[in-house]
Amino acid sequence: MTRGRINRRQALKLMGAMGAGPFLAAGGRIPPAAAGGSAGRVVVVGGGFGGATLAKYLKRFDPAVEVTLVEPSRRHFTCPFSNLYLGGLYEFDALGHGYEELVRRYGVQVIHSMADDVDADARTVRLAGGETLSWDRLVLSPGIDIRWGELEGYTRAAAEKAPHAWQAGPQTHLLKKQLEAMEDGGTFILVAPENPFRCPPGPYERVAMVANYFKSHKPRSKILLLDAKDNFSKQGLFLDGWRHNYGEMIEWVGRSHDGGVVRVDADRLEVETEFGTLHQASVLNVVPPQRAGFIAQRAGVTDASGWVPVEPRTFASRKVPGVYVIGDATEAAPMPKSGFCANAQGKVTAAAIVADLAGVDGPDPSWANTCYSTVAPGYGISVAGVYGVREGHIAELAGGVSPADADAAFRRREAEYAVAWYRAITQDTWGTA
Amino acid sequence: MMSRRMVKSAMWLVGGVLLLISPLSPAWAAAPPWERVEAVRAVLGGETPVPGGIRLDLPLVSQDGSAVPLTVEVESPMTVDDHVEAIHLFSTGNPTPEIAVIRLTPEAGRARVTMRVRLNESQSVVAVARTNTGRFHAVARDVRVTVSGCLARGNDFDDASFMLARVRAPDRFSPGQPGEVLTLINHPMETGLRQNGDGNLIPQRIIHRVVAEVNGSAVMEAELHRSVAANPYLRFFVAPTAGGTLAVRWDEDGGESTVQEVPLRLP
Amino acid sequence: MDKSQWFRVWIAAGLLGIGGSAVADAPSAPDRVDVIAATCGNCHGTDGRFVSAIPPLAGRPADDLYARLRAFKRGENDPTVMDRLAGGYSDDELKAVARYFSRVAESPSGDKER
Repeated sequence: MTRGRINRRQALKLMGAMGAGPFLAAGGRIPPAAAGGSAGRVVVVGGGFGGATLAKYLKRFDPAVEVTLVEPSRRHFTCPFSNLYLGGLYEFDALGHGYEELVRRYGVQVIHSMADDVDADARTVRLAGGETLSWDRLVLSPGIDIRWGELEGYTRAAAEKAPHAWQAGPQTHLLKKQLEAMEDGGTFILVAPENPFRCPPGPYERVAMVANYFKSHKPRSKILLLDAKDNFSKQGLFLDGWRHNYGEMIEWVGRSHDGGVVRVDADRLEVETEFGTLHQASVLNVVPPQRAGFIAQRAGVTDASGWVPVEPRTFASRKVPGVYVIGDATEAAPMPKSGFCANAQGKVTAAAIVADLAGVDGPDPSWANTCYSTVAPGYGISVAGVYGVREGHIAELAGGVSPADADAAFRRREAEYAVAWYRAITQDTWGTA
Repeated sequence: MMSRRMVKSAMWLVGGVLLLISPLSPAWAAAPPWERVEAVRAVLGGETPVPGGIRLDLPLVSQDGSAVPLTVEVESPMTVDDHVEAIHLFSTGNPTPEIAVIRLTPEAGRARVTMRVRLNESQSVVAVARTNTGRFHAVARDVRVTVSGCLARGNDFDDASFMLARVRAPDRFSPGQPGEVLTLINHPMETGLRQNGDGNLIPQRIIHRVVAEVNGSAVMEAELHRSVAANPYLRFFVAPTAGGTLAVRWDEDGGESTVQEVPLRLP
Repeated sequence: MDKSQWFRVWIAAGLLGIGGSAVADAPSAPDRVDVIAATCGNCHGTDGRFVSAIPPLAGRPADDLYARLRAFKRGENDPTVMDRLAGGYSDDELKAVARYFSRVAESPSGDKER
């Protein structure tokens, strides 16, 4: 038995002797775990970058915490690097990550099922099979759901003809197949949404990767990016990178040049803009409006925006006690909705939960983010940031984008670092580099 | 908090006048935002707004302060006897408080306007509406502005599209029923507070007036200030009683003007 | 938590000027240095052990790591992202993180508890 656990138990005993009264009075906290040999029972819903990291780091910070991860898939396929698959630079299979290390090395219990309801009063999660799990603390890391129908004509059925490919898996394959079936000289149209959405640089990296595929396979083809925004992530770097690598192949139309799409006709592969221009695509990729994943809506942690407001220090839900939410589902701006941030949030929130279960304050949070985008083989760009809490809000403490005037060697190093980063973060999250 | 804001504002301001009353005194902190801003008090002229009757929609958190979507709507029958005459929009955190004044006539049919505004930092945005009967409605909304690290500024204004204007009206109206009109003009909306590469101020150059006329009579007239986002985007309603033409004219303080006309079709 | 981790917590607490009583109240709770160091794992792998184009951190001398972090913060050392990130931490934090990784064994077999 380790010294840390003994001390924690002593602390719990001491607090038990004081009774729960001062505890609730002090911070309005819900009580620490009812320890029965365990330091508390935590159920984590969602095994992506956020949930898997949180489960692992909970066990690393305190092996006595019982951790159950609920995730329907046996392998999680990541959105990061799925653009490189579309561009022909990465194998699809290398995007899949399983849960063996979490189970064998860290002792996380993994249940491959779908969580379909939360009872915050009874502190239970109901699974699709009807089974119920009880928890002392619940963590939701549900990612995004598509707001079907929010963009006129963009329904589940439409996505089978005009894929979003914004959740990696069958949609990614569908888009890849359509690109491969397209004739040379066709037009690929990508529709980009308003903020906030998953992976701010994603649409701009995607058109670059499609251009990389076209360049060697369908060089007479065109790419049109219709955007609901006038500004986007790493804009100057992307515009320069597109031109440098692909000449005039990619045309970006911002909102103020009538790039805002208001209607999709998936049968005709046609879109209509705000001011009535019709565009015809050979392959149509719609990145639609989004919101927090389904279980967050069920748990009642979302607000009118469809996203989840959280306490900045811990990512505890502002609406439902005992529930924490991390990753793309949360309102964490200025932190972007990225896999990197979800991983960083998983660690900080794991630390906060260990502290909470012990009835003490957690450490001051610190998060970081680095989003690499691959514009072409050997041509990478990045945005990086360090975040903390200032005056009760999440704030960016340092950061920035790659220099605009960087030389070819710099861009090459960042392309190499992008691959190294992907392998490192998947090792850090699932143990499967 | 205040000192940081003052420094930031002073940098952006350069010679303008900061009309914010100091919020250091607790009495000010408790008062609604429209009582704390001199420019708002000037519009109210000592009158107290009646509660409710006006809604202001802004995102709780905006990841891009250079173009924050804003919709304001006033409950009004929009009849000759009882209609909204003007909606004033104010920023409490920009170097100058005025954002826009929208003047309406009963022919607008509905007192609802959508546009995109510039917000320098997290702040309250205030809307004040005045009816023809002298009644005031006021509302304030807090917005958090986080210029995300993922949102680096792109290239400058594309000169080739300068004063390129677009209008879209519904394909068909029902007589007297309001329908929404979308307008957009490409214009940099230079604030006059920005420096060029040599450190000299770039002079202010903005679209300062947008007028919409139905068959020759004005339905909506917007007075825009520097806090309106580049490429002014304006949505409003018209309720034509007969078919004809909607003409929208944009005037800028550099002396340029442009007009776009679209047909109004009724059954 | 094993003894080496304990030692690390105390060292870190001392470096960051965290009062002894706070640590005594929260014996098993990870502290800010644990959290910052965990963040590094995102590019350098868990415990800074991942070997790739991005160099591993585990087991490197604290003085060397700290000197490099300080140089990054000044924009030196031919950085790509590290200059943009290092500015987000105080010198004391960088020093504590350097010490953290210097005490991590280079391979998992050297530190079975983790």
